Amino acid sequence: MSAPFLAAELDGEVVLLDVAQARLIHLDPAARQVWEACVGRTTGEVAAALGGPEERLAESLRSLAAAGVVREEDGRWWRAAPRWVGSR
Amino acid sequence: MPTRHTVTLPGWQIRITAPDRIAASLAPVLSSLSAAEPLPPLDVTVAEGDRLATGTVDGRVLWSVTLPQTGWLPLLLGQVGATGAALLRRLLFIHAGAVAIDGRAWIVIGESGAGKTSTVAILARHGAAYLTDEITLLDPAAGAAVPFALPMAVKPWTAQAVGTFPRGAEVAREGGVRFYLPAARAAGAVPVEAFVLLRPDGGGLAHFSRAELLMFLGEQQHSSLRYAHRLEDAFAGFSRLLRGARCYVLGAPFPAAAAELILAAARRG
Repeated sequence: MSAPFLAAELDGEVVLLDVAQARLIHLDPAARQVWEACVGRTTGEVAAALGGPEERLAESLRSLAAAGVVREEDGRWWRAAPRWVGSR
Repeated sequence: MPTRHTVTLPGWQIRITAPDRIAASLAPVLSSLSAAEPLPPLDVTVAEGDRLATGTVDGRVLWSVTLPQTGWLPLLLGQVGATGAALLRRLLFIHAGAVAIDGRAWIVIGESGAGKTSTVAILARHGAAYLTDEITLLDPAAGAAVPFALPMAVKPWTAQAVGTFPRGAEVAREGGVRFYLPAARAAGAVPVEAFVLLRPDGGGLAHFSRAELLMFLGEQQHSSLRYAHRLEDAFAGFSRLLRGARCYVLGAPFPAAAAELILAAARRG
């Protein structure tokens, strides 16, 4: 992920600031779970870790990828590593 | 002939060079402002013919607008207010009205036409201290709202919605807009109690997600998040402010009902 992100946790939800694009991205608790699980796992591994159906997860991953906060590399998902602001 | 008026505010000097009828209206609407951090002097010049206005700081032209025949005063006031907000280095700003209820700031946000000015005016009529109508200054380190007492720009429909205004004075009138300054104003920074997002869809007062409120602030056309050099500290500052505040969404059939719901929430604590 080339663009740096800042992240704020607010009541279990996450708002990310894409500094280069000057835009905010809101991750509700469900999206946050998926995003946080993207630590070099395959789609199947993320599904297993979260315990949800793989099809719905794939849709969520596509949506996060379109927002630029996760990327797929060699079949594995990686999340942007933000700098957190405030307490978590 | 252009005349020169200098408005010296706490922390900010505004030098107006303009035809007398313009300077004589602009100066009083600016007179109640104070800058909570020192700002460089602003030169506002309106050229002969009364049409082209420019705002200059340190010899650099920051803006240039053509003034309409009517409605030029709200436009000029907006330009000056926005310039002050853009020059801030430490404080943050958002497009919002704000009052202090029992020494705690209630920030009223919403789209244009959502009823912010009417709600603020009615709250002030019920004893709240006026902080601002259009531009709310926020101090994230202190978790406080800072007075920026632009007069309320009262359009005819706002006057109708409010009915009786709080005690105060009309400081100017132009293009069907009255500029009204409530007498009871906050004297200094006030700890932020709540952000209230006005929505047209009814439903009363309900708790609102802080994350969604931050998203709303990010979508505003006028906020510190719109300035590249403030982006990161604005994001951190707004997040910090929201963590320490209550957040509500409010849909009411008319501004008086909105104000009643806010007052009731403030009394509940």
